[in-house]
Amino acid sequence: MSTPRVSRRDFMRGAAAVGGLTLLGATARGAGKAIKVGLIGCGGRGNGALAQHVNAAKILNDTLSLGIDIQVVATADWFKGKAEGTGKRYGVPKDRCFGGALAYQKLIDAGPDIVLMATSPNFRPVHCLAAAKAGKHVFMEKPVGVDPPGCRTVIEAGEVAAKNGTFIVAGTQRRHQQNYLDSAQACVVEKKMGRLLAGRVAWCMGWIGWSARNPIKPKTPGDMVRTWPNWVALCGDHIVEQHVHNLDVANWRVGHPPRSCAGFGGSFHREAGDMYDFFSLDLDYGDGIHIHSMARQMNGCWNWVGEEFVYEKGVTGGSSGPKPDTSPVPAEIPQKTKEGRGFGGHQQEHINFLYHLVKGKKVFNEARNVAEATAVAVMGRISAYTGQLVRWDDMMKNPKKNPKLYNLTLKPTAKDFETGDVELPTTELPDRSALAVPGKG
Amino acid sequence: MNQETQGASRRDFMRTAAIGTAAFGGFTVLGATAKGQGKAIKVGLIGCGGRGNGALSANVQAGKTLGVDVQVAGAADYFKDRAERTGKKYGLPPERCFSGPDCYRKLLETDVELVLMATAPLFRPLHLEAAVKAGKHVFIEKPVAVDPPGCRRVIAAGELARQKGIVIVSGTEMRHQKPYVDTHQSVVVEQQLGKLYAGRIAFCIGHMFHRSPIKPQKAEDLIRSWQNWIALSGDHIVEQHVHNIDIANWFAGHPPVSAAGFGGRAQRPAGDMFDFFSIDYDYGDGVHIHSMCRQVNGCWNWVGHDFQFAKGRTKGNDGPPPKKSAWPADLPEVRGGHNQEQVNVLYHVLKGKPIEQAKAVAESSATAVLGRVAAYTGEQAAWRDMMEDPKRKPELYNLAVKPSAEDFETGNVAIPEEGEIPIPGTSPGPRRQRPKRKKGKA
Repeated sequence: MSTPRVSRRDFMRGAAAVGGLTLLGATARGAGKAIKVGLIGCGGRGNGALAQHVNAAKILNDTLSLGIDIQVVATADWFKGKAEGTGKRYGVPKDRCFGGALAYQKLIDAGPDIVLMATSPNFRPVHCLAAAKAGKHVFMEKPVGVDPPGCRTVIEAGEVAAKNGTFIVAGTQRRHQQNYLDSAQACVVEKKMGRLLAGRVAWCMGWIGWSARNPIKPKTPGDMVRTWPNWVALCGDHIVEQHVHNLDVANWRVGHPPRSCAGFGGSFHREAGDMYDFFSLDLDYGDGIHIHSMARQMNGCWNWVGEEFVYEKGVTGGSSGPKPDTSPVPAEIPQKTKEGRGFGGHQQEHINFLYHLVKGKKVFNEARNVAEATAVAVMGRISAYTGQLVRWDDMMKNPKKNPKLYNLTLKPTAKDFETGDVELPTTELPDRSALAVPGKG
Repeated sequence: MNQETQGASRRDFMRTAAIGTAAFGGFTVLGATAKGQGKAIKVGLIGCGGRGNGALSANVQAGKTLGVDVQVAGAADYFKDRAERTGKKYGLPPERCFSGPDCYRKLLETDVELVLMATAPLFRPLHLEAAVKAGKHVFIEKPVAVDPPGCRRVIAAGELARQKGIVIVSGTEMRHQKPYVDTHQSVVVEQQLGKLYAGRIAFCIGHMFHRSPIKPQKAEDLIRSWQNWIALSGDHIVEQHVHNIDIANWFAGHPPVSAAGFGGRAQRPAGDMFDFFSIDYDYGDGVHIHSMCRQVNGCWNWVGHDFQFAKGRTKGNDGPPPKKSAWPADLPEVRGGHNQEQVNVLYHVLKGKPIEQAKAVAESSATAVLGRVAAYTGEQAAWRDMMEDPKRKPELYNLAVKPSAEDFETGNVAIPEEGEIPIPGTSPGPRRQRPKRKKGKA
C-alpha cells in the first residue's frame, strides 16, 4: 500500500481486509474518508490526544495523501464546562458536549466512529467496554484500570473488539515508537542479543505538578474527579498511573506478565490524597528472570526513567540496541517532522492508529497488552501496600485461590460515580492514617 | 605469634588434638604444622551480650574440635554485670572482667592471644584498631562499622594485621561454610557457570528488637538497646543484611560501583531506624543486584541469594562441585556458620596461617552503608565518592554517625531523637510553611 493516493474504492477494499468488516462502518459511507471522533475526558491529556489525533490526519494527508477528514462530533466530561470548552474549539454544538457521570454513554450514542478516552483511569474499564460493545474504535490513554476486576474488564472489551474487528489502541506510547519497536523486533523476535536474563525498569522523577499541595478535603464526587491524580481509587497510585509505561515494556520484552511480585513502597513528601511517593518491586517473570521496577515522584533524588534489559550478549535499553533485519514499522508511516525530529509517542500513536485504520492492513487491538501492564502495576501496588508476595494467577486468573485479591475493587468505583453513591475519603495526607501500611505492628 | 606459650609439650598437644578430632575420622587436624606450638590459647571477649557469649561458647567448642585448650582469659563489656556473668561462666577472677567504655583497652592489656569482638558495630573500628596494634588475633562479628570512616579504619587495621601476620576472621558466617566456599570456587573462581549477569539478595523477616519506644536518657540506654539505633547498629541493612551483601560482593568479585535505593519505616515502634530497604546495586559491566531487606511482621519473607549466571542460577551454596576445592583438607567441617567461623579462626591461628578478612567484611559493611545512604537521601551514592576519593563528595566520604565510639569514652553522648527517621529527597518547596527537616541524616 505505497500509493500516495487512495481512492474511495481502495480504501473500502483495505477496510474489508480485516474480516470483511467495514472499519469505518456506516458513517464512512458517502462521506469519503470522513471520520467522526468523540472525546471522553476533556482535561489536559484528552485535549492533547484530540489535537494529536487531528494533527495525525493532517500528517498522513500531507505525506501519504490519505484524505482523512476528522470530524469532532461530540465531547464528554464529568464537568460540562470542560466538555463545552473543548467542543467550542472544534465547532461541536453545545448539545453534543456532554457533562456528568453518564456523559460517556451519551457520547457513544452520538455516533462517533472513534472514541478517544482520557478520563481518570478508574473509569476506563466501564467506558472501554461500552464503546467496544457499541462497535466503536477506541483510543484509550493508559493506565486502563486501577484494580484487578477493572483490568479484566478491559481484557473482555478487547475480546469484544476482536470479534467486531474494531480497533483498541492504547496510550502506552512506547509500543508505537519506532525505536522501541525496532529494538523489540531485534531482541524479542530476531533474538539478536540471545536469551533475556534480567532487567530494570524505572520511572523515578521529581514532584509532579498535579500533586496537591494542600489537603483536598473533597466534599463532592466532582472534587475527587478534579483531583484524581492524588487518589488511589481514581488513578491507581503513581506506579499505575505513570510507571505502567515501563512495566508494559518489561512485559513486552519477556513476552508475558510476571508470575509474582514482591514489593516495597511508602510516602514521604505527599501533602494530600492517599498515595505513596515511591515503589521498588521485584518482579518474578519465571525462568529465573527477575526485573527490578522502581518508581518515585520526589524532589532531590536520583532520577531515571527508562528500561534496561540484560541479555546473554549484552545490555540494551528499551529503545536502543541492535537494528532489526526487518523493521516491523511500515516504511511509509511518517516518523519525523519536516525538520527531521521524531514526532514523539503522543503524536505517533495517533498516526499509527489512523494509518492502519484507513489502510485496513491490520486491526490494532492493544487491550490485553495495556490491561496486563496495568495489572502488573496494580500487583506491585498491592504487594507494596501489604508487604505480601502477590501472584498473577491469584489476582487475574483463578477466582477461587484468593477471592479477596481477585475481586479487590477500589472504592468509589466508576459505577458509584454513576449512581451518585460516592463514598468520599474521610482521611487524607498529611494524616498518615490515610495510607496503606504493609505488614502488622 | 605469642600463642606458642604456656609450656605445653608437643606430646600433650598432640594427644589432646587426637582426642578432640576423633569425631571426624580420628585424624590430627593441626597435624604436622602444629609442631612446636602449644596446646592452649588464651581467648578474651569484648561484648558479653547474646552474640558474644554465643561466639565464646562456639570458640571453646571449636577448641575441642581442633584439640586445642581454649582458655577464657578475659571478658569485657560496657556493663560490669554482663562482663562478670560471662566471667563467672568460665571461672574468671573479677580482675579479668572489665567494664566501662574503655573495657576493651583493659582487656587488650592482658595476655589474651585471641580477641572475640561482639559489641555494637559502632565500636568495632576502634576496638579492632586497638587489638591489632596490641598484636592480638581477632574474631570480629559483622558488621564491622556503621559509617564510611569506620569502614576505612577497619580496612587500615586489616592492612596492619597483614603486615604483622595477625589473623582476622570475620563473622560473615556464610563465607566460612563449606557449601558456600565450594560454590564460590566452582562458580566464581573456576567459572563453571560462565559470566555473572544479575542477582537478588534478601534478608526479609519479621519484626526485630524493641516493641515500644525506648526513651533513652543516657549513654547506657543506647548501648542496651543498640539494635534500634542507626548510630550504633548502622540500621538493619547494615546490621543484618550485610550477610547477603557480603555474598554478593564475594560472587561479583568486588564491591558495587554505586547504589540507588528506597526504604522507609512502616511499623517500627522504637529507635530511629527504617524497617525496610530495596536497593539497586550497580556492580558495573551491566551487572545489577537487587537487595531487599525488611523487618516487618505479616509480610513476604525471604532470606537468601539468587545469582543469574550464563549457564544457570545459584543460591550461593548449591553450585556444581569445584574441580579443586578451596577448603583445606585438614579443616574440619562443623555444623552451623557460627561454629564454623570459630573453628576457622582457631585453625588459622594455630596453623600459623595468617588470614585477613577485615577488608572483605569492611567492604561489605560499606556496601550496606552505601545502600543505606542511597535510601536515606534518595540520591545515587557512588562507591568511589564514599570510600576512595575524599574530594569529590567530602560530606559523604566523611559521613560520621553521632554519637561516635569515642563519644562513649568521653561521656559526651548525644542522644538521638527517637522516631525521627531520615527523610529522602526534599519537600516540594516553599508554597506552604513546613517544618524544616534535615535531609540525608546518617
